[in-house]
Amino acid sequence: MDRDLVEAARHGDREAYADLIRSRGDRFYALAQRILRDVDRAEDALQEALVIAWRDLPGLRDPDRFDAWLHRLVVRACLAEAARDRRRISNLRALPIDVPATTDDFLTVADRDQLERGLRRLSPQQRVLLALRHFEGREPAEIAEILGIPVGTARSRLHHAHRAMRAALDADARVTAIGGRPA
Amino acid sequence: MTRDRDIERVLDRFYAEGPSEMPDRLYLGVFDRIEHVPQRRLAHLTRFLTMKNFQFAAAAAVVVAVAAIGAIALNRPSPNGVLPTPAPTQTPAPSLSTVPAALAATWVGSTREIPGLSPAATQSRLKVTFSTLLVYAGPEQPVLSSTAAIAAPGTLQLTLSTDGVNCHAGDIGTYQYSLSPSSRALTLTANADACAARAAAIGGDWAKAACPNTNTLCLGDLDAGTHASTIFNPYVHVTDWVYAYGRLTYTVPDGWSNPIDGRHGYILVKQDAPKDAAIYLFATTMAASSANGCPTGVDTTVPHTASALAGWVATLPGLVTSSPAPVTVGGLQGMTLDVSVSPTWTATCPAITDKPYVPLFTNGESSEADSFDWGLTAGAAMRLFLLDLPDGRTMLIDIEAQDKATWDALVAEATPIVNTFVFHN
Repeated sequence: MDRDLVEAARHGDREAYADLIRSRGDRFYALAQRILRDVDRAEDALQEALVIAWRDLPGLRDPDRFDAWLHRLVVRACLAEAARDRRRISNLRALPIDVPATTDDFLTVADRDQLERGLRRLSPQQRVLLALRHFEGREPAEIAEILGIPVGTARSRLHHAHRAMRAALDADARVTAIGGRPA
Repeated sequence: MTRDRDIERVLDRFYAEGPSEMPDRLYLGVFDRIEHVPQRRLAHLTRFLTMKNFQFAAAAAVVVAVAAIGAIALNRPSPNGVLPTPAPTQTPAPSLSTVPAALAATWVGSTREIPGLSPAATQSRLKVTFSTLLVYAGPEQPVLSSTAAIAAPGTLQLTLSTDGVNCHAGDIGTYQYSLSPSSRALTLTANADACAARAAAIGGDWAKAACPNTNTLCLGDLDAGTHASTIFNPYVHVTDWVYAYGRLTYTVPDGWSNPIDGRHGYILVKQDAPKDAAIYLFATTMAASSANGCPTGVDTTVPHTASALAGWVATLPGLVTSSPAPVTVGGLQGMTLDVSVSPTWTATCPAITDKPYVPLFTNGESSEADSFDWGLTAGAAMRLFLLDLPDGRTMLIDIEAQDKATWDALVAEATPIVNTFVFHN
């Protein structure tokens, strides 16, 4: 069914394209937010990716590759967005509305703060790897395909990303311990 | 977080949290853009069709756009998970129609007194969907939930869903509704309502909370005119924050937006300005200490007064500043000065930016939700207004842009807006 939609969209059918992204938008939006850790930037990146996808769709020769192709575009758009020098406006959190407070006996608020700070210390490429692995549950082979790198390289980079995350958390703990506060 | 925890297990759990629904405005934004973006390989064909049969192509494009946007609006759950199609619990009369999209939003306004409600209302906001109207009078669950429909042009009919606040399920009220041309302002006037509490709760003027982040209550794009903050409350420290609508009021011309309304900060941006060119307000401002170019906490040697902070900024290495001058904004007194990074300054804070950077302010809070660190990047410029608050804290207003040319233009347009600020305690 999606194959037909992709074919139609390739030939300029905007309604077919609407159907395609409607069924995938939530997933890619969630991924972009996990990579960029900022809803505004995630929206910017995803909108860019979806517009580029529309523009370049006629060049996609195999409609069955649509998902993998779009996935790559979203990741690339996130990396491009992450590379932009932007101030941390998102630091200003407003009062959430209609969002029930969640109780979680596993991750405390302090844990989440520490993880957010730790992720900020990682490179955008490392954040992509961690989001693909821990949010989407991708295996190294899948990550390799999405990023266009050899499987061994994906494994190695994932390993380094985990180490970097642990190091970032350790560094954060050290700064907190001496009474300061990480940026 | 202990070192012994398995980092992968922690990350699995951490990544499971967070937003998971693409906002409708993002879909609509994509469709608006692709209307003007030809597909690459078919671009020549599009041009051919356009030349051969312009009227047909234009009409088809409109039909497709309307169909696509309509399909999204009708088939997709709204951000709150409510299907935007009427789902009344009672069969509506044939003359009733669905609430229009312009009304389906979160609306904020001054806190209403609701007779019979206990505890008393501490805030007032409405959440209108295509088939319901919910009243929020506090941070808890909504009160006075009603099904909603249009009974006649400009007439909203509400039917109470459950007993409560001296009203009964099935109580009907009819209201005249009036939307501004931009649909950002709403006035509700009761024709008749069997539920007096609802009439008190929803009558009057409302502002649409069209925040880019749908979980928050900022206003988004603004009409020219006077507006009020909803969440921002400079008169208490962020840890003592309470909901207080209208602590800040201000007047803007056309073309401004409010993308953030937070407990300790508020932002106004000019819509066509480069990103990060904005008027920023922070409720609590202290001098930041720094090490290796990065902020590390509060510099406790600097008093938390406007004059002390302005004097401290004026002597910070790495900055070029004007002389601090007395100023009064919105009834608060303080100091103002212009600041930029010295061309010879080279220290950076890689966690924030690769450019030369000077840490300036913090509010001394450690939690991610409540903290802010504010500094200046090379090339950017700030006009700072440091204002004394009654409890000894200092509020910051920062007119800032990331390049000097933009900043000069921004200051010219932002200063008259800052001059309209009024802080209500």
